Amino acid sequence: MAQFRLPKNAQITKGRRHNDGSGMQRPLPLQIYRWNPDDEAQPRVDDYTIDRATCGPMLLDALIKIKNEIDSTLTFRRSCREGICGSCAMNINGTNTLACTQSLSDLDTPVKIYPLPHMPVIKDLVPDLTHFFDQHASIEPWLKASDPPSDKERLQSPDDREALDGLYECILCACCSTSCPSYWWNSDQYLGPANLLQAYRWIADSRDEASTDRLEYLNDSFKLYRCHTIMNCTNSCPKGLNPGKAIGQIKSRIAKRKT
Amino acid sequence: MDVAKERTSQTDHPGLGHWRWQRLTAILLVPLILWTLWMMRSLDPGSYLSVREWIQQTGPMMALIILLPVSYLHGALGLQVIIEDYLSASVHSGLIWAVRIAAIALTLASLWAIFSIALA
Repeated sequence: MAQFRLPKNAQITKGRRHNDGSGMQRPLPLQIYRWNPDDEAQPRVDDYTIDRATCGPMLLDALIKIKNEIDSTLTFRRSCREGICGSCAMNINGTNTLACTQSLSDLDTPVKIYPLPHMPVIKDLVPDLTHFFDQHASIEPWLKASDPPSDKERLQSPDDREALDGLYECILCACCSTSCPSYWWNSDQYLGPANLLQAYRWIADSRDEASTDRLEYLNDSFKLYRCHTIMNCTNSCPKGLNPGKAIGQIKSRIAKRKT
Repeated sequence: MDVAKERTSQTDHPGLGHWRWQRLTAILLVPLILWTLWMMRSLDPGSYLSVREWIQQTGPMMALIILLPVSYLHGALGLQVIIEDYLSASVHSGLIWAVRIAAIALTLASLWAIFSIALA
């Protein structure tokens, strides 16, 4: 359901200016959302300036530089730094994307950095993804086949394998789901674009024998049909995938099965 | 809420029927509206008598008999989505039924009005 009132700790205030960039060769100002659950303060936006002359090319490099050299309390997730793990997903200048694949040279300044939208915040740029991953578990994201496991691979034709392109690459960073207004309002029941794309990844897999059960599970006005093809998901996917198309294909398969 | 543990439960709100009807009525409305507008060329909207005579013709009468119920059905389906998207689950059922009853009432009232003019 839509929330029309701001919840507690949602009034963002002006925060500290940590440095002013004096003496830097190529100063880059950043405004970063800060919130600490250990105090009663409202969230704030702190100002930082880094020297691009001594920083790596990506936004994650800038965040790591701030944490190492300016403010060690700044909290964010990061791991692979190459767009594979999805840990550093955040809202950068109004767009959900990965900090590690976002080039600093492509950003307007000051760079405004917030956690993924409409998610509970654990601290600073770290959202609570527990519910998101519970939903992922609910689609049972594993191969279901009646054949007993053997030492050999389950073979596919090249065409069947090609059907998984654009699906298997999803890294579950949640950029798409947290850019979707339907997911903002109804994430308690709507599975969201990331988990629906993951569900379709198994429905489309020629080796999986549970597609009927999977489609039956998804034929629900809240789990699937809250998607109104707004397409923010496809616009924001940092891997260039198309969750909107995958959702359309699930709807199409359900419709064909019931005809 | 442990979503993962809900996996085995059957769905309470199958969505295919609503999705299919919404698209079917949307597609139907395009030619129906164009057809009605095309026939309205002979209509003088400023004259009550002209409107009555227009409705008494077979073409406009058939267009309205089909167009109005389809419009109300499409509107009711759209309002259902808005209710489900933006309002608390506790009021969904009551409001959706109220919208459906209103759509049926409007359909009956429209058909009654058309037939009473056509058969006058």
